[in-house]
Amino acid sequence: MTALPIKNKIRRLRFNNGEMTQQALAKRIGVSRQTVLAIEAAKYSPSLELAFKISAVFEVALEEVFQYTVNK
Amino acid sequence: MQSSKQEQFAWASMLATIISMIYYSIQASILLPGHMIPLAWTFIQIIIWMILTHSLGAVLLMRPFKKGDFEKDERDTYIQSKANRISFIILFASVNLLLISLLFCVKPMIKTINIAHALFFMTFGAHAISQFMQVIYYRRGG
Repeated sequence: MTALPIKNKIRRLRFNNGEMTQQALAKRIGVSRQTVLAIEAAKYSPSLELAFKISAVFEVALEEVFQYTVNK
Repeated sequence: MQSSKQEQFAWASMLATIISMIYYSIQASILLPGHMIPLAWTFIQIIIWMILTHSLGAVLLMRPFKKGDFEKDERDTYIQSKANRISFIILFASVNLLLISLLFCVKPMIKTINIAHALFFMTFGAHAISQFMQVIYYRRGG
């Protein structure tokens, strides 16, 4: 399986926000814990709406949560 | 990795479909070979079985009945649409193969009951493939 070009810092942001659990984040953004796990592991790219929801939870800009790496 | 409710439901649905296909095969080949009317009753039994297992599966997986626990999120919808696309291609191809074999058959060797068997396995097989692909995508992460 090819790795997705969108990386993220959700794990670190969760840690910095009082060691927020995946379940707690999942509840706040309205998805299952497995979806948070898949996003965190860069196995699933979230929709723009969900990406904004995640950045809103951590109160940071979208670019601080997700990074797009261009393969040349 | 603990599986989500939707993944558990995909497993349950796949197993119920496979059991239906095995039951139909036994009925069609051993108990009721070449008989349309008893086989029609078998088909009705299978439809009732599918409705009951899917309803029961949904109710059991919803426990402990937390609000929003069984709702699909965007990843579930994405996985289901990918799996359904594959099963649709397989269903489309198999129905067309059957159609070609019916239209281009020189001797009318295909009996109505065989067409019924083929259509049953095409529809239920496509459903089982869809559930199987969902399970694979859930295991892979997306």
